[in-house]
Formats: sequence, structure tokens, C-alpha cells
Amino acid sequence: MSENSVNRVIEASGLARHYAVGEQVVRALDGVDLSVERGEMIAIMGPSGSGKSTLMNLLGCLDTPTAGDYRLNGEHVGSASDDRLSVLRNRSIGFVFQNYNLLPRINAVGNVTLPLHYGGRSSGTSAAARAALARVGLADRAEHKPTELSGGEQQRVSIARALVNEPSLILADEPTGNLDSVTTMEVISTLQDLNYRDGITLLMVTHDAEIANSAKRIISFRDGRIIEDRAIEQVRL
Amino acid sequence: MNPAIVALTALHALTANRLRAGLALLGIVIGVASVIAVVALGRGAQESITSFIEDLGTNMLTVQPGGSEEGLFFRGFGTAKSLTLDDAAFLEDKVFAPAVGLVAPEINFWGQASALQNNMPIQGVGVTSEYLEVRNFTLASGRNISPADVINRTEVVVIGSRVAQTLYGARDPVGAAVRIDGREFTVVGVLASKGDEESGFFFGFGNDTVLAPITTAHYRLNFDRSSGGGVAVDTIYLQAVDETSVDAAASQIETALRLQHELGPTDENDFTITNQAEVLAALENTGQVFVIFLGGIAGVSLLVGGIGIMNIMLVSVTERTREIGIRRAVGAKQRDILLQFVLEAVLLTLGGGLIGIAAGIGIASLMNNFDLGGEQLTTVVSANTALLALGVSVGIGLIFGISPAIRAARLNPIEALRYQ
Repeated sequence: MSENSVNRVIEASGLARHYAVGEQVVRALDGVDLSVERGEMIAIMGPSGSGKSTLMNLLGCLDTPTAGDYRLNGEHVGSASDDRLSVLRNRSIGFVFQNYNLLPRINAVGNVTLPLHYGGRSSGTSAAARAALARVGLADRAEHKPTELSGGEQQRVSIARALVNEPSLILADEPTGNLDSVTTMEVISTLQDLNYRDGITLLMVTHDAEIANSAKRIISFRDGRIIEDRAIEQVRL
Repeated sequence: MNPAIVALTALHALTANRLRAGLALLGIVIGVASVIAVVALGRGAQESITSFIEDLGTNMLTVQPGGSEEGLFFRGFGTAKSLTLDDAAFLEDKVFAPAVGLVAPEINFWGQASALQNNMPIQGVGVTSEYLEVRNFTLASGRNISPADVINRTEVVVIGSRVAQTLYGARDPVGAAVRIDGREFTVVGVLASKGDEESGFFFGFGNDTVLAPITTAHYRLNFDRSSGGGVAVDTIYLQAVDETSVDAAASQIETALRLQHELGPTDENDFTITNQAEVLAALENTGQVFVIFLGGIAGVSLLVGGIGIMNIMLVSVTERTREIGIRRAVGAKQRDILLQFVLEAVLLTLGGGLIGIAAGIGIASLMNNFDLGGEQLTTVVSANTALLALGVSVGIGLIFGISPAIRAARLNPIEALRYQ
């Protein structure tokens, strides 16, 4: 294995995802080649239905491709069992969703602890969760329930949850879609900070060109294909 | 995932919707409580029958006229007049029946007894002096029917406790006169009350009894003759010399009576020997069936409770679709989700089972010694029943929880995450 492929988090070729809708076949993703190096921060853009979310689901091991090959840290994901996919999601991937997707009845620490529990860790989970919360600047909000937190704070709890297992990849699907401009800046700078300081690889779907400029690379989608893939001068927030 | 954490998660989910969990739990509580209470009632009835029979003595045998048909309780006894006083005397012979101890023949007569302007129907029994010991009666006052009374056909009676109470009230009946079917007798003894005051309930004898010498009963009141012309008796009670020789005594009695009745080798017995232990076994068996039957009816309510649990779990899975999606996204395997929901159902039924057992025991102890118009209810709660009910309720949680849990585990994580 070359030096290059060791540092490659994502390596996808001819990635396709087709859905049968009645008689018709919808090609949500139609032959995508993508490779992502460790430490990249990528913004994914494109109109609705262009295949961004489908790609995120595939890269996030929530779904398996109809055709093509996807390797996560060198491991073939296409043929993995459901249990293996669960383990990959737990160990290698952190999700940040537009609507936060926190469990409403448990507090911030509880939410952040969740991936640790499913990872089989039974000791020191609370301390690790608090450390993750501290990293996103929420050390003092650890005991609050999601309903007691602002949107920006909730999103930062979900970022803490995404990074608590030290994944090789964080996937953020429109992480600021529900936030106002001030909290958007908070969340984006948190993500940038994680990428810059801890070298966490980050893929982020966004509609907002300004937010896209916070990344180091922009990939644009249309009709299930990549139409543009360029490196940019990152704007630090 | 650590099982303790799964259990905590499940418990947490249940406490989040207390009213709903409580209502689902109630179904199980009612089911378990009614099984415990009903089975306790059934066992209580069974035990009081058993102790009543044991009161009579398990080494007792009875011989009655008439051949036996199949089955314990259906036979033609009482119609034939094939047993006589001479048969009873013959069974006392230690050569023919060494395993037989005391022998007590009886003649039944029904009549009206009156004294001091009071009167009541009685169950009259013509007896010999052995009768009291064989039937486990004791005297409260006065004396027993003596062998001399039997020989001389004396007109004396020993009366049951309720007869004494009804005819004489607080007065001492010993030495007093009593008229039975127009004849005057002298009361010489009063029986101690046997069992509880109402023990006539099951077998119709005990405290309403009036005992007279068997010869007096025959020649003055009953006059039944056997087909051979002897003094016909209705029942011969016998005691085996000890509890282990009951079977030996039964076969000796059969041999002796066949000889005495001059029956040929192909002739059917013209008498029936009943072993008290057999009666006891048959009644216990009947009681067992009774308990199972009642328990089964109560068990249906447990089943209904289980369906309630399933309903709640299905609603819960649908409501928490998004939660399931989140858990799957952060790494929960299908079996983690399955375990979580099954455990929720089992915790629910386990809790219901425990509360139900407590409630059932409470109800059973309230019913115990409850006075039901003279009859006292007895309830017996057994640890086995409680454990079984607990096991069944956990089983119900598993059975009715598994299908919603499988549904939860099989949800597509992407669709589950999108669920509003």
C-alpha cells in the first residue's frame, strides 16, 4: 500500500445508488468517483435532489451502493454486513444532522455518551463525554436537556457526540440549515477548529456559498454526478 | 452494549411515559393478582376437604352392600341388603382378617327428635361401642353406647352437639328424655363437636347425629332385613391395624365376606369395599383439576394483559422511530435495538407481576377466614404459584414484546432518521 492510500479516508469509484420507484429507476447517484485525504474539509453543494444526501448516506455507512466501490480507511464497505456497518458508523464516522437529532429526554452528557455505550465502552464514558462537550465549548451545559439549549448549543452537542469516539470522518448534512447567522458562525467555527486543530476530516453539505467558502475544497453535484471539484482558499471564521 | 445500561435505558423510556406504562402494567397486575387469589382459594378448598377426610382417619375402610361398578362414586350401594350384623361379627375374627382392627357396623335411620317442646330432624345411626373410636368421635359428656346396651336393646342414645344445642339449649342433656319417632329414649352421652360447627357441609354427618345401640335401631326403628333374613346393616366401618396394612385388610375383608356370603369363584362381589385413602386421593385429584381450571380462567386475563403490553410496545416503537434511527446512526446494532425493546416489555411485565403477586396475596389474605354465611373461606397461597405467575408474566413480556422489538430492530436507519 502506498503512502498515499494510507492517508486516504474515502476512496470511491463508480459509486451509484438507484431506487426503484414503481416501474421507473431513479438514479439518485450515478457513477461518482471521489477520494478524500485525511484532514480535508470539504463542502458539498448542489440543488435539491442532486444526490448530496444519497452520497452522505453511502459515505456514512447507513446505506450500501447499488454499484461501484466504496472503501473507508481501505475497507470495502459495499459487502459489509449490517452489524459491520453499525460498527463502522460507531468507530469511524460522526454524524451532524440539520435538525440535530438529539434524544430529547436525556441531557447533553447522556446524548454524547451514547456512541461510547454502543462502542462497548463501560468505564470513563461520562468523563469522555464531558471532554467532548468541553471541546465544543459546552462544558457548563453538560447537565442540560436539549430542550433547555439554544439551536446553536444543540448543534454543538451533536458535534460533541459526533467526535466523542474520535472518528476518522465527520459528515455534516446542512449543519446550519436551522440556525440564524450568529449561531451559524459559532457552529462553523467549531467545525473549522476541529479540522484545523485536531485534523478531523470533514464533509459538509450546504446550500450557502458563504459557508462553503469556510471549507478547503468544494464539490458540486447535479443529477447524481459531480460537476465540479475544486480546491479553494479557505475563509477562517 | 452493557446490559445494565440497556436496562437503565429501558427503565428510563418507561418512566418517560408513566401513565401509559402504568395502564399497560395494570393489565398484568390484574391478571397475576387474579391467578394468585383464585388459585389460593382453590387450594384452600382443597386443603379443607383433605383435612376433613384425614379427620376421619386414613386407615379406615368401609364396606357397603351392593356390587361395585366402574368409578368410585357411582354404584348401587344402599339398594341391596346383602350385609348383615353377622358379617360384621365375622370380620372381627383375627384368623380370617388379621389386618383388621376395630369393626363398627351401622344402621341408618332418619327421624324426628323432640324434647322440651323443641324438635328437629336427625340422622340416626344404630351403632356398637366401637363406633366412636372408628369414626374419630369423642364424647363431650356422659358415656358411650355399651356392649350391654347392644345386647339388651336398651333405649338409650348419644346425641350430636347440635342436637344437644337445639333440643336442650344450655341445659345438660345427659339423663334427659328424648322422643324419636314417638318412642322415648334416654340421652346417655353428648358427642364433642367435630371439625368446625358446619362440618355437615361436605358429607352431611357429624353434629346432627343421634347414636343408638344397633340392635335397638333395628328392632325399634328400622327393621330392615337382609335377603337371607339377618339384621341388615348399611355400612361396616373397619380400621386397619395400622396405616400400612390398609391394602392387606381390604383383601382379607374381601376373602372373608365372599366366604361368609358363599359366593362361587365366578360370582361378583355383592358388597363394595372403599378405602379412605382412595377417596382422599380421588378428591385431591378433583381438587387439583378444579384449581387448574380456575387458574386457567384467571390466566386468560393475564393473556389479555399481554396483548395490552404488545399494543403499548407497538405504539412506542412507532412513536420512537426517530430515536431508533439516531441510535442506529451512532452505532447501535439491530440486536441492541431488539434487546432494548424486549427489555422494556419484560421490565413492564416483571413490575406488573411483582405488584400483582403482592395484590394477589393481599386479596387472598383478605378472603381467608371470610365468613360466607356460616362457611369459612380458606385460602392458601403457595410460593410455587407466585413464582409461576412471575415466570409467566416475564414470559408474556418476552412473547408479546418480541414482535414490536423485531419491528423496531428492522427499521431502515435512513427512513427512521427522516421520520417526523
